[in-house]
Amino acid sequence: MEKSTAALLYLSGNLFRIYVIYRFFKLFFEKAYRRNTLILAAYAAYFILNSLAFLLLESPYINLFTNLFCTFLLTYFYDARLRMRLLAVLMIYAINLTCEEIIYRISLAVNSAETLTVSIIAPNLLLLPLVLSFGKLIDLKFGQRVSFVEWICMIFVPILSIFILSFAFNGNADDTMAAIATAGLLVMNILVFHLFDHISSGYQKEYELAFQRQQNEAYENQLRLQKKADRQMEVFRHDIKNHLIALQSLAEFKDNDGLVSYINEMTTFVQKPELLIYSGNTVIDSILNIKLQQAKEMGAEISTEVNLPEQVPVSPLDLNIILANLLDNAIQALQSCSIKQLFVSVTYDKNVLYIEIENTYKEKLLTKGSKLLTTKKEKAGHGVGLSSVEQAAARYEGHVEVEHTETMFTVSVLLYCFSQQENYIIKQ
Amino acid sequence: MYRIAVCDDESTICAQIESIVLRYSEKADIAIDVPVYYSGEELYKELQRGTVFDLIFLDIELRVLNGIEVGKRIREELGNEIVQIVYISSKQGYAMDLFDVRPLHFLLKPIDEERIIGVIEKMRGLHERRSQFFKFQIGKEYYKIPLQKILYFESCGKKIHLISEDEIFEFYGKLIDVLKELDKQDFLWIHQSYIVHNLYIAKYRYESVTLINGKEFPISQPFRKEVREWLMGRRREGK
Repeated sequence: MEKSTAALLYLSGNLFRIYVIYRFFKLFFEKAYRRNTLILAAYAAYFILNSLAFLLLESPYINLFTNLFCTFLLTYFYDARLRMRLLAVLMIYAINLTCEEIIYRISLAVNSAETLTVSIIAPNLLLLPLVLSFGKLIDLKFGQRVSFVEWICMIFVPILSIFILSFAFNGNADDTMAAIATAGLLVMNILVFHLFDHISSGYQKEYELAFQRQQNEAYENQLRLQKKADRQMEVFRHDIKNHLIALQSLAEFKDNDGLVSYINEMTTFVQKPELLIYSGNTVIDSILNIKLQQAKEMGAEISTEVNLPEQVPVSPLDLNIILANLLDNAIQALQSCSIKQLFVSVTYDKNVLYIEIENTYKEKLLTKGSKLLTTKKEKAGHGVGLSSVEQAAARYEGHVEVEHTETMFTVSVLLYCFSQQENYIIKQ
Repeated sequence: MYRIAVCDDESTICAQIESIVLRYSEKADIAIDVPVYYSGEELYKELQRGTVFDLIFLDIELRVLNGIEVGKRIREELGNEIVQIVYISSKQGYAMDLFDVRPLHFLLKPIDEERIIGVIEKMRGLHERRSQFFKFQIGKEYYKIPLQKILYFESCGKKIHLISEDEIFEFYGKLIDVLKELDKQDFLWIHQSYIVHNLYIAKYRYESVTLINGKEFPISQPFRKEVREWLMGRRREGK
């Protein structure tokens, strides 16, 4: 193979490897960059130095040393402690070596001839899905959804590329073209994954948007109810003169019973009948009112306990996800009950938010042939929404517990409050 | 004998609550003293004098010093965590300030007799638990200290440090044995070296707790899930 072809192959492989290191460090160091432009310059410098060292010095030991040292220096562009930096470098090298070893073994077994592709390109192509999978696992931990398609893409695109590579160099006369094809394949991998990131963040945003829309609907409903209540109050205030005259005459005639019933009537009027919840926390009020209204229309007996500050350090989006999903499940369960009871509790104490939803439900009897099967806990009200609730709770290091008796189904949620900006990994 | 204060600038509300409490005291056959105050300043002065209350029904919309202010002063200036405060208001929607006073409950007007009684019973339960004593031995002397004065226990080598409101005691022992003597409803083993009293915790986080004096204690990894479950369990049983 010509030296220029080999050099081209090496450079593309190295570039790709550095791209993978960049992705790995982005995941590993949560609070990343000092300055974005400086980082790219640093990586560029790394690439240049590294490649020069390899091409000019041709000593594997110096190569290894400069590699490790420069990678370590790169970690100084991220905010972390020394041991985290060492750990990051060690990890990426360990994974890198493992990939090289795997490819080497496979190539021996398959009797592949092309050594440069084998030793440089293929391991890096294998490195990429490993690092990306690591990233997705961290996402899962933080409650983000990772679809099956994402996994398939992440794993198969690089592996298929490796297969394609092995064809590129199989007894091909035109080495230069093959080398360019390889470089192209690597660039394609990078592009595919960048594209992929955009798409998955798009999905995440769409999901959040759906809940924002629901939240907005709830706010609008809340506003409508409040306006209605205000208008009623206005009318009442206007009529107060007449009411006072009526009360005065009842009192003068010593009609105690008449007096009491008139006052009771006034009192019920003054309450806000349609605003079932009015805790002062607009987010909670809006979601609960809109959902509890539905339950009320079904004829359910509703009791509530809502006691929390006007503002809680929990994102409205997450509150919506949790309450809307749980209430939807509860309402669905209530539909098939004769006795409909719903209890909702949202309370706050010492930085912890507690949510509890309790509802009656009917254990559906399933038949299989002539046998009667009773529902498992999973089917009775354990809708799809519950996993969203668990994910939302996980974002606050919280917990969801589901219990049931023969007649009542209870879901309890605990959240440790904190504002998300402090602790969530900032995905860029 | 319990002392339950009622503080509201509307004398009708005060009379209403007073009569509910007195009726309860007759029915439950326990002695309850129910002093009434029509302003936050009056109540505060009484507390400053050292009068001990078990429970205070405190209106928020008071004229000069509002209920939340009074509550804050009780907790911060007087350093009193033990007296239970139940807020009463005609409206809802308060800021975090109210919750920083760590009230026992929040009741809306019009006054509901059942809720008042519920709160009194809760207070009694807490009071009974907290007036139990923790007994320990230093050398040949025996000591006992009411649980409500204990902030936390810390283990240092073979000794245990008992940190209370006024002083620190040192005695030989192991935390595991200390835990056996304590009511798990109120004391929490959060770390190999710490047992903390829930009464004096101001904030819970998954990885740590902060006491009312600002001191932060880490919750070690193996204890975190347990602490969380404990919090959920207490919540379900109604604190």
